[in-house]
Amino acid sequence: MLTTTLFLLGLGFGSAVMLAIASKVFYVWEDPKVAVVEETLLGANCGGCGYPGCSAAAAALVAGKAGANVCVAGGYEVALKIAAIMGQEVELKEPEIAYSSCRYNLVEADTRFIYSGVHDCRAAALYGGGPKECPIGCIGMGTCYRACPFGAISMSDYGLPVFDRKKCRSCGICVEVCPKDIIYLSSTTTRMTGDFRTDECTTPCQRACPSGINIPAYIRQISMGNYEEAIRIIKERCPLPLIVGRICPAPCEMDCRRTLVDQSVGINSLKRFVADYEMESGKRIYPFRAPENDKRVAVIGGGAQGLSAAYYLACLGHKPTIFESAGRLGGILRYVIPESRLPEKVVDWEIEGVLAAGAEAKTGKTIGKDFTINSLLRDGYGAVAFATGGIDSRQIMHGRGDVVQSIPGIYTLIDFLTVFSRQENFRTGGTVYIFGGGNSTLEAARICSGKGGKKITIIYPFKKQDMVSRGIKVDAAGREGIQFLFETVICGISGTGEELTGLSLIKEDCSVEEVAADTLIAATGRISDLIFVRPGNEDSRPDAWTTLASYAMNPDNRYDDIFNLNENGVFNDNLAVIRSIAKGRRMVRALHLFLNGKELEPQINQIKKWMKILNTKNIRGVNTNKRNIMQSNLTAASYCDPDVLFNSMEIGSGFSEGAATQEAGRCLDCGLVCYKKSAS
Amino acid sequence: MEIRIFFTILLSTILINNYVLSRNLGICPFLGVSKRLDSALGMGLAVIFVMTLTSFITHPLYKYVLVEYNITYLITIVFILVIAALVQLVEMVIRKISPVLYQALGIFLPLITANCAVLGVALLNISSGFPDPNVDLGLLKSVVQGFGSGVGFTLALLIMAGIRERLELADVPENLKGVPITFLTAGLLALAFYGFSGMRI
Repeated sequence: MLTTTLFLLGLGFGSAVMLAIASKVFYVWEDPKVAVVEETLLGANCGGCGYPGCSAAAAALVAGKAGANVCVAGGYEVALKIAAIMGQEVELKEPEIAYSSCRYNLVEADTRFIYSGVHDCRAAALYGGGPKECPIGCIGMGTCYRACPFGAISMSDYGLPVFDRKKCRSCGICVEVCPKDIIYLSSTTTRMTGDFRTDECTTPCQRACPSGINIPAYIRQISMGNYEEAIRIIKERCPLPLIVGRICPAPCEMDCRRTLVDQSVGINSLKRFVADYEMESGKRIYPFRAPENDKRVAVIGGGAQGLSAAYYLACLGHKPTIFESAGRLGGILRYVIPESRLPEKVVDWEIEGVLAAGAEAKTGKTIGKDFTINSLLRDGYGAVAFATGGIDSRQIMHGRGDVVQSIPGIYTLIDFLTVFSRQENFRTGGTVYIFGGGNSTLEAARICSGKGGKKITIIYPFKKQDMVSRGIKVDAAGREGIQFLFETVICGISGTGEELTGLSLIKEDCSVEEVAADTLIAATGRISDLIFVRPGNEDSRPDAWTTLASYAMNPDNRYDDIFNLNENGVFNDNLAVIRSIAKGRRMVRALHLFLNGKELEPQINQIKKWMKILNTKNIRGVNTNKRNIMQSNLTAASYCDPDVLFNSMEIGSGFSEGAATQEAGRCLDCGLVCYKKSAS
Repeated sequence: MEIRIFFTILLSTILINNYVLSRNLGICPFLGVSKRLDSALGMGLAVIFVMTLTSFITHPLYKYVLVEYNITYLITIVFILVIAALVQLVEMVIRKISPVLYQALGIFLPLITANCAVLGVALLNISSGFPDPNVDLGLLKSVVQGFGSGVGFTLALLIMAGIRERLELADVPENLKGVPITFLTAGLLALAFYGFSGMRI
């Protein structure tokens, strides 16, 4: 008895002492704030923040790895409370709303089989991806609706999920749970700066649009009479709809699926109709206005591209300043396109809209003369974006002896041969790089060696045998000491103060090499679309600047060089105003990410031009119904009067409301393969 | 010969005498932590760890203390006390030494401080020697048996979690939803494992 009692007492006491000592020895300090913060969080453990549950998020918050706005589900109120605990300031996060683009239910879409199993999308998707023909079609059995912890998803009578913008807390549970991966989080910012996605229902017309306007969506709004919503949708991707609605060559209409039945829908005329409606109403509609911040951007060029870039920068809360060398903004839109196609008052109204969005304009200022990249960056601009597009960054006034160079040390080949090489006292730097592969490139290289060039290298993106000037000439140039770099492109330019100092090259084996350079001669027509910023902290020189890897830059693709800027895998020129607008809009993506201190990453699931996207050529059950044509302002008498035709007035008069509604009704409201079979 | 016996012990504890499905021990975590595969795996690893450690501690404790002082009737209470204290200690140590391991195992450790499967391993190590029930098992075989029991537990837990993840998609009758269908599943699973009992090793 005594032994037993003593033994148990001893054992209990021994364990207690051991644990007590252990708890001292192995003590792990835990911040009491973690518990407090965790209580403040919703406790839904939704994982929307990216951490596994609320307690992990709280730990990350207290450790300083996450901001007070980490809880997307709790939104602004929770962020304020956390900020109060942590003593931080809150940066408002734009809500990203769950979104699915599928618009046709199981009855109307083409199906491969009739599914009668368990009523759950995940179960249905096990059978070859579900009953729908379309690989990104919504099965509509409400898995997302049941999974949503905030009750933000409801199933419509039509059998598709409806997302409540107010209730959605961007937690992403529906994105996870959807077996078809067709729900994603979308915000106005991502739509304004991004492109169409492969998991998004897109139509041939949308994909044909260089700037990617959501065409069926705005035509649907027009047919329902919601003109303001229609203009808002257009302005997410095109800030100048009045101008585009008048002069766009409308590649969308060429790809319109209605052409398989009769004639294309008057997509561009409808855009003009709503844009005219906005102008007549006098009320400006913006897709989105982010809270203002104090990040300034210098946009060089006040044409379509510059206006587009400035507009989206302003909408995202930044402070863009447009620098235009001409007296007034507008570029080609104002100075080249005739009044009969694009009246000046239309251009003025659109430019006023861009300025009213928050952009500033300085006209009569030329880069290289009145200011330089370095002086702008020194004046507090976070980035300098070259949106010189159709006219050019070079401002060489022949005959006036007035040579302006926009980027220090960089010449286009033609400028170099026509102007600089003929100047007596012109001297290149010691290390010269020449980008190109023609006979004139070799010519320029030889001129450089007589003008002070010591180390001259020709960079050519392709193989030696592809060069225009091959064989003896190349070998001869080699004997003269001119070096060649084949299968190499330039992916970055950097400099200090008013001098070029280096280039980044992508070599044959895809490795990136930094080389010193004093002069660069590029056999390109124009130097545009470059974004200059101060390099990161590792560069200590105060006046250093470098190019920002721009929108489409992808190190995996070695032909994405800065003189061959392409987007969607297709070289972009400035052939149409919508193309310049698209370039301006896409520059904003890189600028926005950079200004917010984020990594420049290519957009995920982006549709590229070379991708084969599901389509249909088989349209049945649609009655033929000819397209509405705009009335002409011309009278019979004025047909013969060239003054009238070319100068005095706009020829097209735009749609009447009735014609617009009727034309909008002709739209088949297409999806990848779906279309409105009952369209008139 | 030795190796063969170890293999036999492992096979026996994992499949034939599976702690959960044959001996019906440790049902609580079996039903509680088997909703998701990843947490089931974490729990299983924690159980393997604790069972092995317990076997290692309790066998000498019995042989050199309880038997020596002739107080073997205290075996249950002593083992509970020792296991509970041990698990607490291990939790503290892991938390200090390896936060990563703590994330993976640690959160499950408090759940099994007084788990009957763990106690069961300790007791059965003493009472059912192998191959002769009356002969002392020895330390090494005890540890192997503890390890095997843990693996058996993990196996049962993983199978159950896998089935339950699929059950979420299934069209279960309204009044069987939740716990009832889980019990039914567990029963059918136990029946399946019962088939192993005819094995001759």
